[in-house]
Amino acid sequence: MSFSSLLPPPIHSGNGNPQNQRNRNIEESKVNALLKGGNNNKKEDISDQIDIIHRQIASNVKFEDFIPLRQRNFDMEIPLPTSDSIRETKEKTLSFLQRLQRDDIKSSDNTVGKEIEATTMKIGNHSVKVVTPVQDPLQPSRFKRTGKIYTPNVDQDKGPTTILHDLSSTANSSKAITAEERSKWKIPAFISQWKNPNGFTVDRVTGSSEGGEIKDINDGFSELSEALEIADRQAKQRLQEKNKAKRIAYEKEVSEKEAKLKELANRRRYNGSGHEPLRIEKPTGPSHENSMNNNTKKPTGILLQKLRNIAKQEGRDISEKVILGTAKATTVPELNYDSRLYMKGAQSSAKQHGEQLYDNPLFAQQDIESIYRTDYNKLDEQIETESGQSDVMSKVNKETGNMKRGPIEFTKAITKEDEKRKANKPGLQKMSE
Amino acid sequence: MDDYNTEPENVVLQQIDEVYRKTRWMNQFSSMATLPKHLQDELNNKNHIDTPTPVSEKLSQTNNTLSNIETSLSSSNDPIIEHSVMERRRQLLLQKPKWHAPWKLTKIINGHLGWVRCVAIDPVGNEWFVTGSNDTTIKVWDMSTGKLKITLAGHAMGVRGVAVSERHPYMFSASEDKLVKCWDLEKNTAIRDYYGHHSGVHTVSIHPTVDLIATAGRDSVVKLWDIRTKEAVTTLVGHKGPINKVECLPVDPQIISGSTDATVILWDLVAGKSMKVLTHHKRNVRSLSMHPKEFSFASACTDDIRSWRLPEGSLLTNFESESTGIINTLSINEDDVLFAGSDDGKMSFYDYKSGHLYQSMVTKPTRGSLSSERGILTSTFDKSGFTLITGETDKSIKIWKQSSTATPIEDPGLPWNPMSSSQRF
Repeated sequence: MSFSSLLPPPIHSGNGNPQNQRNRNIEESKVNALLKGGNNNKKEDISDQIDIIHRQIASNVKFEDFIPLRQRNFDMEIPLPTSDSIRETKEKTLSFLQRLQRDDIKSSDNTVGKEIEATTMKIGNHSVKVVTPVQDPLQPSRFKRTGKIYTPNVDQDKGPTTILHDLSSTANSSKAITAEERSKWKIPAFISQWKNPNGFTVDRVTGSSEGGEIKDINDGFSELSEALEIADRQAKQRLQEKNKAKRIAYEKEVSEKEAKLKELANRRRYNGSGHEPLRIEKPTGPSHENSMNNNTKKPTGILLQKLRNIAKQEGRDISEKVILGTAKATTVPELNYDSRLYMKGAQSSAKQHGEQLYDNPLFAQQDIESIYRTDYNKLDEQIETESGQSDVMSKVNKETGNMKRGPIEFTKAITKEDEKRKANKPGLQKMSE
Repeated sequence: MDDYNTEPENVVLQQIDEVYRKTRWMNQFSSMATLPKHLQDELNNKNHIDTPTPVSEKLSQTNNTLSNIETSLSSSNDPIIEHSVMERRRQLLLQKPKWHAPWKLTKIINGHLGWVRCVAIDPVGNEWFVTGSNDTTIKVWDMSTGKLKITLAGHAMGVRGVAVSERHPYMFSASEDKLVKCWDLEKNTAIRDYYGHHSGVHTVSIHPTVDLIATAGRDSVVKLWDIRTKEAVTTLVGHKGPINKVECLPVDPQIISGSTDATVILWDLVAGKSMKVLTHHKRNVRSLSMHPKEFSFASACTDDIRSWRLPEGSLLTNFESESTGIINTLSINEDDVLFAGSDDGKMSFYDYKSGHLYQSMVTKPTRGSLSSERGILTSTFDKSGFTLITGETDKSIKIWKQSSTATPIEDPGLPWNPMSSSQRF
């Protein structure tokens, strides 16, 4: 079905056309005949028509007309039209076309095939023939239209176009729009028409009314959101208070501990060992004890010589003082530590509170003590490895037996007299040894 | 009814009528003891209708009449048409359709940027062919090498139809931009435009003898143009939907058109009206094709291909086309091969005379094409009939050839198993 079938019939259709009129009459007569059942004339008319159908159509239709023709014989010959028939048809068609063209020229005011009318004018002695130039009817207009073409959108029959939107606000109240009203319709420039990731509401309708008067939102919704907000705030507050109390309690505990230690220290300072101040006792091993015992011993000349040799071998220029110092290093330094530093070290290992993140030292106490101090054991090893086979140390080790750890044990210097004495001894002695 | 007796050949028809009437009577009223009152009254009034008789009597009567009919049929008609379906089927099975070699893809030509909507062969030398595409261009290709010869641009919208003239150095193209263009193939330029269609033009055909072209399109009229003067000679009005295909013939009916309104109309050009309207198709008739060697043509709608005898337009064959789908194009060979290209890329090859589907395949997708791009939009056989050219929705042109090595024993094709539906009218 085409859409044109839905359109009303064209104006004047049926009225002027006698053919249509006749058809309608026939239809009417049929309807009447069916309705009334009487009226013999019309009945005869119908039966005549039925007769025509029977006689002219049904009588000529055979059963084989309803069977595809090639069913019986595939090789049925269907010759192409003969050249005679083709020529005949061509002539017929051409004559028809010529007639058509002639009629066309005759009937219409088509200027293409017509003789062009010419007017002769006399200018002086010359007679001038004035002819209007032939124009191609399909040639596009030579005048270019500029600007917008106004087309009134008014159908003559139906009257003006109906306006569907509400005119009450604009038409009736003829007042001009105030600047304030206009500003309400304005969308800030930063709100994009296309991209609105932050979800700015471009609400033109409610924007015209004042903010508080939005009635579309359900009361329950706002209540819920409010309640949620309050609950959230309260929960945050409670958590904050709890944390605060925890911190205070911890700090209190720490300060108490500190005070206790202070008190202990003071008591020891003034009551206990009298004038001796509090100092850190170094972790003591057996080597240390040894060194403590040999506290007063000075490095002997041989060792000094030895150390100097080592330094020379390494290519280091070490002063006498340093060498002496190394010998001296076993002595416990008389250092006074503040007890609070000690406390801090203790605290570092204690469970940390969340808020004092950078209060504890980077290194534990024992690390600090040894970080810039000579590691004697390491030094021993180095000496052992570096100072070849004719090493005093190795000799010393051999003599003393155990020299792995602890400070270097020194032997008595062998004087010339001793050597002489050894040399004077007869070979027998040696043998006996 | 008594009037039939005036003509002797109506005797048969009358007898058939009688048989029919009696069987109706038997079916409806034989089991009844008494007839309904209104019928009885009518019977009393009109005595020429037979009063109901007992069943046994009636049967014998019908038998008699049937035998009468048979004798009369055998005596009166020269070609005996069996009235039983089974008998007709048996006769069909007795005949063998002609064997054709299967078709194979030989070449894929790419070059168009849009659907290839139409294709036409050089009718004189068979050396080149033309394709029109949705990319608004017309391209001329070399037949043997498949190389592009020239691209003709000039249309503003897709080209829907091309036709190359046998008698002029002209080619005509129909486009959706409402224009029909005439191209000079010697200068390779458009030399004429035919204005007048109200909407897109879908098809163009050149009259074989007179200097006329017929075009038709979405405005559902066939327009005839004088080639030289560019004037619309006549407009043939009658279709109720867009016209898909127009063909011109040298004798009446000089124009045949197939339309979206499911009809094929044979036009009387001189009278300016339809000679015959073929209403057998149920759907949009998308394609028509003339047979090059005999005076008949084929038309196709969805799942239905039929061939018609000309000039009167009587049904020749009903092809085995039940599951072919939407058929976009038909082409007929001199060798009696009918090709039907479907919208889903299905290719069906039929024996034209028997309507036997002997090869069915799916077109080969070109590399990079989508699965939805599997439609065959247009097709044509070349002048020799050994080559088939198809234009497809994957923007390619494909060239198919019949395999030369195939034999009837090795490649028998699909089996010949005619269905009763092939006998439908």
